[in-house]
Amino acid sequence: MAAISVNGVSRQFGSFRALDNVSIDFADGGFYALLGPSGSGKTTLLRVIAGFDFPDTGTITIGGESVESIPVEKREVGLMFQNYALFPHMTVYDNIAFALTVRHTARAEIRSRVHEVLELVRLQGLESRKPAELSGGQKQRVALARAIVFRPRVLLLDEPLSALDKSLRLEMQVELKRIQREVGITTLLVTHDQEEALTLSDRIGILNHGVLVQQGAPLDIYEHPATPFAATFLGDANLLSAQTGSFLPGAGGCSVRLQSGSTIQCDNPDVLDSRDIVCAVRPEKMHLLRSDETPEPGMNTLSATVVRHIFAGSSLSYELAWHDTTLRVFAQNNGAPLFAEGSPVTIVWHPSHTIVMNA
Amino acid sequence: MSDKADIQRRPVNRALPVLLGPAYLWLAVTVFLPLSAMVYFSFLSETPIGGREAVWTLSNYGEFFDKAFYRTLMWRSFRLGAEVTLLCFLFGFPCAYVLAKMVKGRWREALFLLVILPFWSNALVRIFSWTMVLRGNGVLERLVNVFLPDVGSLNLMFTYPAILIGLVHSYLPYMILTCYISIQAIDDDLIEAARSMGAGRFTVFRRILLPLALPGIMAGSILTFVPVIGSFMEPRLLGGRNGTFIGTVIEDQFTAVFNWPLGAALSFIMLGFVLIVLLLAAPMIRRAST
Amino acid sequence: MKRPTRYLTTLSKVYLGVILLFLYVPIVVMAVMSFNASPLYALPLELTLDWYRALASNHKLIDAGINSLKLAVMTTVIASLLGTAAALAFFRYEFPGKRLLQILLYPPIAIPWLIIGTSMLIFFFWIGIGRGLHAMLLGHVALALPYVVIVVSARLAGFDRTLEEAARSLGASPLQVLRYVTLPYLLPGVVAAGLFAFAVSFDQFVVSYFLAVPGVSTLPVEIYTAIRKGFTPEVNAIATLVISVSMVLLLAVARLYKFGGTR
Repeated sequence: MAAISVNGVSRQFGSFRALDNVSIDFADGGFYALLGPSGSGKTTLLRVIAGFDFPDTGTITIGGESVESIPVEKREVGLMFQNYALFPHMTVYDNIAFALTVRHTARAEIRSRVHEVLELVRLQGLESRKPAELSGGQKQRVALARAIVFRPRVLLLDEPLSALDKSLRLEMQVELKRIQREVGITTLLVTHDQEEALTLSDRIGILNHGVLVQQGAPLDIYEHPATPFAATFLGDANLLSAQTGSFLPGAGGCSVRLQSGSTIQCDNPDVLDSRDIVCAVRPEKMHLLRSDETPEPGMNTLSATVVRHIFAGSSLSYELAWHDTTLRVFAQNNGAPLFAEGSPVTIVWHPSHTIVMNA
Repeated sequence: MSDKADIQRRPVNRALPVLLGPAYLWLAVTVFLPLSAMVYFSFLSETPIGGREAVWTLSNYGEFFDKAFYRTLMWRSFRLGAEVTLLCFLFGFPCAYVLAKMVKGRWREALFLLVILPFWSNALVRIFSWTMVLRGNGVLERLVNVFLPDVGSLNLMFTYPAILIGLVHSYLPYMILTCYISIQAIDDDLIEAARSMGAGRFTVFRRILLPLALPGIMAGSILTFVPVIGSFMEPRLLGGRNGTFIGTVIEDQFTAVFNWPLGAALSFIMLGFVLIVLLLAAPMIRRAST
Repeated sequence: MKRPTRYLTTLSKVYLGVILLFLYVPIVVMAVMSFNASPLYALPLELTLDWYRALASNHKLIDAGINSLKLAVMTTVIASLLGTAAALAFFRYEFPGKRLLQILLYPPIAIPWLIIGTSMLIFFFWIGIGRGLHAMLLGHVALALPYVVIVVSARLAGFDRTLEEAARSLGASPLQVLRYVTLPYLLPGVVAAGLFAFAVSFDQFVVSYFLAVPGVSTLPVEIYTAIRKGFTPEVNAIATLVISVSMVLLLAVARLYKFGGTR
């Protein structure tokens, strides 16, 4: 088990900058997710850490040891691939034993280690099957067992659950988390699925265009995204652009004049020397009032019109027209009457739920 | 599969003979009946042409087992087949690997085409052109002498190595093609997975590439081994007096000596040996096809 | 930062170059020698077009070349038709003995051509078909047929049967389905197979050798005879012409169809 430290790593493919001066630390035993859209550099970062690719500049250490010049096979990293990459000509047993046989481990030791790990992933009895005879979830477990059986220093997962259907994916998420906790191995997960990142990991790093946009605990990033990209990529957000230089800090909070002219209140953010400001509000933090109701004092309000509502069982989502923008508001299906399409409403939220970011 | 049941219910009786009849009639007249005729001939005492009386005999097969000459030749032909196949594999497999896994995009397409192009030029002509390269004072000798003036005459022409070179040149594209197809089908992730588990290059080759490329290797080997065993033109042109193999002896029976029954018997003995080799290789072929 | 794999990439490129050199040296030597004045291929090179002029009046080689072309074209047409029909039958229908019929395609490929050729010689002589161009045509088609069935079947394996069903549901008769849906899809496969058939016939030496009669032979047989009689640079000239034409044709076809065809 070991910590990973990435310092100022850049990687260029022709004119495409896949990684741009990325620095990030992964502490020992943690579960991390690298989240980003395709082409954001998250897979390149994983491959650079694994040793399939090498950085143009910057350093990488695993367990304090500098690894840039160490090839994959000597790095002692466990890898799980998107399509499992199980060797089709080997049985489950041989697949899992592979890493141990190439290390010339004694036969008896191999047997006990393989059985131990099969028990961990709950696949006892399938040793002699070939990969083609396994279900998707079973392949998944074999791939995981194979990646951890040789006790690598870190475990790297490249979109490991994306090939599974939804219910199986949820089940495997729970399994993955359990096994990671039991083994206690530093784990790094690459995914474009924000829900997966939120559910599984202790810390998330968001990448966009090769740049590390933000890193932190899932809740922190969700409640305090640092950029509009982070706000919209992780969860839903209504973006409200502010007038240049309209940000006014005050004693108990501050105020921002929006481009539409309305002024809203927010808590004192810790950023901001910049004059260009974007505000964001999560749809579930807003609620709707009829336009003739009076909101509680001290709340932010905007007047809008209902465009349509989308019914999703336990919850409702409203689309609202406000000036030239479409805003979204989530509501619980708690029996309150629906707002009809076309009816004027007031959007209400608490100033502390206004996220203020540099544009 | 419900699909299959559906197919069986279609009215097949009318269409089948129309579609399959001509092809198999043709093959019957040109391959299956001739082979049967050859079996028949191999048990005759004489070529039954021009009113000569022939009687049933086993002597043509007996000849092979009586005379060491034929056995030596059969052994020489097998050695030639095995050596050509091995050399084609040793040179062709890395070439196929480089093409399939290390060259990318348009370059790969172009290089691949370049490799299989010679295979579309006449085999005889290519063998002939080797005579110009290998002969005394020929292209190769002059080239070598430019760099290493002390070597002098190479004397390669009309030797066993000359036959090897010509045959490897003829069959290398087959081996590259079949290996290329099966290597290309191997997912890169498998190789990366093996490396991440600590396998070095040699282990990846032995435990992953070789078993997964086995279908291509076997196909290429059969496509090389079988025709080389029966080759007669190449040994004659490149081997001269050293070019006597079972193939050339069989050819002689049909074109020079006119002892067709002996030629037929020798052909079937050769075929029998080829079958034995294929059967011995069968476990590998079977493993390759699963 | 160093990438440890770089020297391997260079090494592999060099290796590929060496293999290509090995494959092309004899072909290039052949072409160069066809312009060499010395009939004994003596070096250094003295450029001349004499051998191409001599070729123009060498009726034996030219007639043999024409025979080869005729045979190859007829073989291509017949083998493509019969082979495509058989491949369609195998793709479409399940019937008893199907497996056996498919296995029977392999003897012409898996038995050395020497044996196939001599057995044809025996049989054709015996039942009175005799030797000559007609006998060669019989033989060439037999050798090309299995390749056509295999190549066309490979193309058919990727065919989405629901396309035929869709056409049927839109009102097409079985023949119209074949004409407008199945055959257009098959075309690249048939072209590739035809190319194979042409090459098998045009380059065929072994079977032609046993079935040729003096005066009526094909280019490879005539070249072989010329080589056995003694070196003759006219052979270089015609071989160079044939190789250039066939390579240009193959490149053109490859550009058009990208082999197996695009999906």
